[in-house]
Amino acid sequence: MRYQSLLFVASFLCIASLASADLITYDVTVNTSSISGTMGSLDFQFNPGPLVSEPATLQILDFASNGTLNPPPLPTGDVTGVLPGMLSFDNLTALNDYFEAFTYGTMLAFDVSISSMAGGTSGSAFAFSMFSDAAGTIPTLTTDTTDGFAFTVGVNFDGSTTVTPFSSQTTVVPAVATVPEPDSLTLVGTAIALMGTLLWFQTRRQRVPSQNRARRI
Amino acid sequence: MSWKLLSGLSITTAVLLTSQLYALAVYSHTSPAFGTGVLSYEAPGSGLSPSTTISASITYSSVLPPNLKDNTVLQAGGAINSLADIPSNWLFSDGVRQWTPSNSHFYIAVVDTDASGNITGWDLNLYSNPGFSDPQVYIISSTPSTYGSAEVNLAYTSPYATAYVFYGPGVDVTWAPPVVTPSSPFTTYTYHGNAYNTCSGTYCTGGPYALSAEFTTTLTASALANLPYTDITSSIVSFTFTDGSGLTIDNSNASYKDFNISTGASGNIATWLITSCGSSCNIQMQTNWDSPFGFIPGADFSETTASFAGSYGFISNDPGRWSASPVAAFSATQIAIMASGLLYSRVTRTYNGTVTITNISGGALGGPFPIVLTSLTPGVTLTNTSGTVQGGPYINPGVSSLAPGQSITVHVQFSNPSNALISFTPVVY
Repeated sequence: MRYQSLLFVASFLCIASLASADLITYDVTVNTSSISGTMGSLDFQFNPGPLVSEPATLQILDFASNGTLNPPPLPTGDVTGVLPGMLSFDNLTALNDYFEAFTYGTMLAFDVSISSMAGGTSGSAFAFSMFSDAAGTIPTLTTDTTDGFAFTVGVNFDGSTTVTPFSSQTTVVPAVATVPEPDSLTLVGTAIALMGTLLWFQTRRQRVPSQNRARRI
Repeated sequence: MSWKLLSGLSITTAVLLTSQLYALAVYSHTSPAFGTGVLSYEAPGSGLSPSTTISASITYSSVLPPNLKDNTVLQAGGAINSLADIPSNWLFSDGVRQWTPSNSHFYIAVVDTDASGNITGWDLNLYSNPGFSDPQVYIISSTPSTYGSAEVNLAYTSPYATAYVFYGPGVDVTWAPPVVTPSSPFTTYTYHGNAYNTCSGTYCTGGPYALSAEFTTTLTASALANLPYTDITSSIVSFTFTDGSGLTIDNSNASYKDFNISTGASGNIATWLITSCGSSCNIQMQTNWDSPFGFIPGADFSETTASFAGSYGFISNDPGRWSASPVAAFSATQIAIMASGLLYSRVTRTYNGTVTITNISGGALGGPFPIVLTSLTPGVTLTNTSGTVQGGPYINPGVSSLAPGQSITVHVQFSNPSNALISFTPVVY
């Protein structure tokens, strides 16, 4: 009976584990002093792969710069928010893109926070690009002159991420942390409560025989 | 590689996708036990017995035409002289020995068919390699059209085994209806040359040496039937030439290649001029037969110094044998396929990513592993395609083998003007 109960609790913990998503955050800083004053543009995108991609979300947080954003932005696909506020992307359409003209100062910084799950046969991918023209056709501060990416983050099938840098002016510092999502917390909490209940029952069961023995004596 | 087809006949998705385009017809037959007929002679030690049967499987690129009589369509009668119009693959066995394209060739391949293309009569005369007139192994299975009411099974393996069996009327001696199996968008041809009989330098030491060649083309089925003498170089996915000593020229180290063939009704190569050079054409391997531009009447050779000035091996007037097999798709238990996310390039206005294939079979796998993108989203174009085959565009990684656990990653680039969600079903061959 005790063994079955423990199995029950363990299965709950497994379910909780499956439901968890990896939340991975990168701190991004770009030294734009070499192009300060240039009227260019910025681009953020987060897209799925061509096979089976697990649902994933991405946020751009804490955007800061001494440059100037030049609205209106041009969002495409599943992206909400306006810089310098938070941007939220998902990977449910082919192109989830936020593009905005920008006059460079000497620096810009932001955080990229990705929530993903393991599984599927396709990853998803994030890219940040800087251009020296407002139309977004001339890449700058990157060695990737073909596609113009400053860096990319690949979301792998196991939920992990891979950063590929193309810009010596850009630093991408990973701050990887796996935390349970609220749904997972609920499940874990339920499991802990069940374990506590089991413990209480077992403690009580152990006390009863000793009381009986005392009566017989 | 050539028998990958047989091991992969049950493979699913890709095969189903291509089945509407081409079919592959495999005819099979098992003779009655020799003991049910009259065994006229058996040499001691042959391993043959009254329980011996001959099992046969022959493969054509499609179901045979209906109502053939003495194979007037595939063969005008008598011996095959053109090396064409024979099955594209075969497997004969007497329970002790096996004969396949790698160790045998047809001298006669005559069949009759009914209105459904089922074989009703046959005269299949198989010799062992080497030598077109050297009957080291000689098998005939034939029935009414050539031998009246009896089937004859003759197995002869010089010098120790002979069986000659007549089956009387009433003995069930039939071929099963063809198993029509899906083909593939790729065909592999394999050549086994005869041993060089002229040599110089290193080719005179050791041996015997002989030229072998294998190439995979995107041409299939009807595109390969009755092909006039044609340069098919642009359709070549991969190729390998070897001289028998370990020297190899393939698509990874060749500076020159030349593929000219003509074919018969079954897609078998009838005349050819096929050449490849290594990093310089000082190292060259060539096979040719009855081609307008080759040595007449034909020769195989390999050399390591240009113009036969140094080491070389050579044989003329004795062509080797070609066999053909559709290339079967790898199954999900052999190859795992993963893809990255696709990023849009504002510079090239294309979507870019990677596809990675990994050998998960536990054993080495032979290439060239072309990846066909079937069911690609309408309106989406693979811009870095290696070509287009039945089923969709493909990318050729150009790899000849994958060790267990080894991966190949290829770049994919798509034009997607409408920003549609890009999807496809990858199939690896």
